[in-house]
Amino acid sequence: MAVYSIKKEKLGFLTDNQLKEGLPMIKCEVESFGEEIEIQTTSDRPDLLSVQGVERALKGFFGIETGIPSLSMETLRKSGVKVFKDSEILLIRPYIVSAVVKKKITEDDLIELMGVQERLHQTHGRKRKKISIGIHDASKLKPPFYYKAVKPESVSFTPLNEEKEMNLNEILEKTEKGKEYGFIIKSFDKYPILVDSENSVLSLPPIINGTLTTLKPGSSNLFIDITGTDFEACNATLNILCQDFMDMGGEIQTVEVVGEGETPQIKPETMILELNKANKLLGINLTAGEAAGFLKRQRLDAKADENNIKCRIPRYRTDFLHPVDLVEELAIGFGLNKFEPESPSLFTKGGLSSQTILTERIRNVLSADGFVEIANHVLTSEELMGKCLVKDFIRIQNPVSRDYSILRSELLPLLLETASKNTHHSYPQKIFEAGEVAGFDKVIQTNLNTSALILSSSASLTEIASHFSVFSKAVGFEFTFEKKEDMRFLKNRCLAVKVDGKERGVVGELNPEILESFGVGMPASAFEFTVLKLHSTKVKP
Amino acid sequence: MALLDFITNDWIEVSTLSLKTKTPESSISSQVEMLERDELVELKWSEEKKTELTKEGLKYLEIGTPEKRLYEKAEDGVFLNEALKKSSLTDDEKAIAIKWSKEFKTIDFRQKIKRLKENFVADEALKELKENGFTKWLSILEKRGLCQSKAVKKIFVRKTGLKQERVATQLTPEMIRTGEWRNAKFKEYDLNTLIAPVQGGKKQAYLEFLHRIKEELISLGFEETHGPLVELEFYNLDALFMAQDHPSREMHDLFRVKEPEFGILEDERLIQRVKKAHEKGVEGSKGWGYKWSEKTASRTILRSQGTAISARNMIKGLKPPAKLFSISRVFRPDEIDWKHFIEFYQCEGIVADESVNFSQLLGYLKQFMVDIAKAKRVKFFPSYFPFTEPSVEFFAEVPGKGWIEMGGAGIFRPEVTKMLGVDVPVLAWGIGIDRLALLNLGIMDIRDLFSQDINFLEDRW
Repeated sequence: MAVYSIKKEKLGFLTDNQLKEGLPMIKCEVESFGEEIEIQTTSDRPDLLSVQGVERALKGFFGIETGIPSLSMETLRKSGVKVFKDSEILLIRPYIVSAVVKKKITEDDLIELMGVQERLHQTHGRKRKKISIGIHDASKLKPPFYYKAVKPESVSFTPLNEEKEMNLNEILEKTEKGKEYGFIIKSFDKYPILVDSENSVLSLPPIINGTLTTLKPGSSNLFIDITGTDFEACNATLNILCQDFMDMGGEIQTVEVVGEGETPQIKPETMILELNKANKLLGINLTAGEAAGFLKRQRLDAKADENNIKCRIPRYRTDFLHPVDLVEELAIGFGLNKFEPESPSLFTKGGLSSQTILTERIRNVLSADGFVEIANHVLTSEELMGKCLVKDFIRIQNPVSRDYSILRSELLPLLLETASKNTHHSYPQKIFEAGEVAGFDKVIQTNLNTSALILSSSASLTEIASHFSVFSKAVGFEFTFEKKEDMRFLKNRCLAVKVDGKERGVVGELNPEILESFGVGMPASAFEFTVLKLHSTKVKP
Repeated sequence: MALLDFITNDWIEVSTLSLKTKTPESSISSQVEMLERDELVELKWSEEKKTELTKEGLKYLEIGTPEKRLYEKAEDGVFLNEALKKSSLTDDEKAIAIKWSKEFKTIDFRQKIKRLKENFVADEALKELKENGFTKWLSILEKRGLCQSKAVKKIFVRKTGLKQERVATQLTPEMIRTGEWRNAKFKEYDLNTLIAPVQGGKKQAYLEFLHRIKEELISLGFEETHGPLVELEFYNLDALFMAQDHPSREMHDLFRVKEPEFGILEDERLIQRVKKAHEKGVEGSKGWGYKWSEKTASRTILRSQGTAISARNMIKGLKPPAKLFSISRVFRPDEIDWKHFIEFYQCEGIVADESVNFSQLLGYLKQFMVDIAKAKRVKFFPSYFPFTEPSVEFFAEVPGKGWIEMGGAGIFRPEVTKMLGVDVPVLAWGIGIDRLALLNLGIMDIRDLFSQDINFLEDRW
């Protein structure tokens, strides 16, 4: 997903109302609408990250221009430029695709290009890890180009936005982009580099270009390099840029990656849509001709042959894995607002889960018994659990805050936290929670627990034990009490709850030391009980 | 001796009773009020004004008012400044002395000082008030803040002549058994103190809201399901055909578990199907074309989407027609503010049957919005989820609130259903339940859904 702004005047071939209607229908959610239109695109459509891409899709949607765009149909002229690939590069950043573009660049184009490049890097390019793009002014370069791996100290050049030459290590350590993206290549002995026949450096992919080839308004001989870890993704990105340049009036020429052939590869992919299957899945009844028409509006080529619709898909689209992806194109081309939502008629018997039925019984009996229900977060802190002497819980590797860095394994500490925040409220207070907890003991376990807490000047073991007994009847289990020593409760004022001989919970009068640590100045009694063991996951020993 | 014995047919003041019985006045007052309720005594009230000197009044009584002190130190023929200097009055007192010397015409300040007459009204009034409890100059003292008056309530009490009966405060089993209740008079309750605040029990409003949604869904034939809080990436992501380099699998979109870091995937055939679907594709799909890692898939995380539960349900095996749902907590790293939290509920579900299609999916969504959000109209837009195709997001027009984004839905990709062993199309939908809850409960801050404030939980909801 990416959010960016387009100047409305660039889509001036449509009225405001058409834009408001059309944009959300081509997967561009409108975030704000004014002279600047802010849109949010979906992550399956990198081709919508440029104004040309959006324009292309809108023209299709409104039937102004349909079918597969021009780049796919052309026979591109060969530029004669060659890129030689060094075999050592295969272990580092194996793919490169390139093109030459003849187009005079204006200042406006330059701003636009920088935006598209950055958006492609961040989303489709996985922050340059998978793909990175270099667009160069080729006028000072002497092809052929060499894409190779070099020792970081062995090469120096002046990177973009810097004054003097640096070697590759210095670039990674000292430049802003080097610090940001250096991690991608740092672990290798050698770094990827793109140079011309006279060893002038075009770029250190995926980090930074050299100053030598900086694009300026007026540049007209462009060289694009795209390097990455996935050929299809690199080629699709090159197709996106080439199609955009073509829409801007540029001429695209191919570049030969020696041993692999001319790039960009523009031959459309072919996929067959079976009309009867598509109609069945969508619940509509289109003829082959209608279906082909709607697919063309999605900027595909579609030829109907009875039930089979042969589609040709431009290479800038990366989201076609299966014919079902054509079904979605058909649905969007047809118009989601033209579907008639069909009222549900499939009969099945519904029902609550046993977990919910039990939870409801607990909520009903304890609230009827005068307890106020609390819903706390499952995420909590080690400190909080520690105050209640709970030491076993599951920790998160990458918490966003100390306060939410572990999963609760018991509910009572959270009820005590609740009590600590309500010391201004009149007493007695009775609160409870019934909810999921998680723990780890040989297996990872999710359980349903219930805890109840009474804060009152006369809070006693007898009182909480009688509430527990009411609770046990509602839940439907028989138990025995057994003496227990538990530091959290006063000595001689704590009982273990046993069900079928197994300890499942505890009732007692809280140790004033615990109350003190929560800043609660009122005697308290409580129970905690494991109602159900819900899920367990085995782990590697 | 009981209090009643000190009370005769003549009016007696409560303060006198207090002295006689050596009992605090407040205690006597409440006792006689009780006797009055039982009609054994009658009461009358009177109010008297009592005047006392203030601190300043008491001081002047002792050392004289500032005007008197000035007069005593002043000599005829000197300038005012000199006289004031000599008088050792404070700055405040100097002003007072000048003001009242003029008022009572004791000194002429016009050129040099000339003493006129010893007319010290305030000093005399203070003395009089102290001695007699009264002075005709009271208004002057009050105006100067040298005395203050307050009303004193006096209660007088006398016997009514009625006989004292046995007054009971509580009907006892004993009284019923012996029949004594027939002779008993029950003490009347004081309406002002009758209602003592009691904390009632209450179910949490957000959980109640979620429960109402569950009931709507079961009435539409959906069966409720659950899953574990700690998931394996496999169920949360791989089983949903999300490639292992998919951006939403990165660290900033998932909470990873520190220990244990890996779980065990047990179903070897399932693992092979998932591996194949990811690497080479199944059922006419190209797959993602990368090397799938079982180790990555067995990493432990906190469930980041409710769809993980649907994946588990499909793996367990569906018996079409099947309609399942879950309302479950999910966890995602995010900012924490009034609009975002890192733990929230998701409501999601599936409909699986040979007959289901996209038009029906839209029908279900519309029905949910009518039943759950009381929406009048629903709008659909194309969207993208890695595991559904076609995918939509839907907005509902909620009365009084306008168009609200409600959730996302789609049909599970054939890769998903095939690798999980399901042979029929499966509709999948999710509703943004927190947003709906905020609207429904009339609150703004998403963190209030999990409020720990008992007042808020008792009263606001």
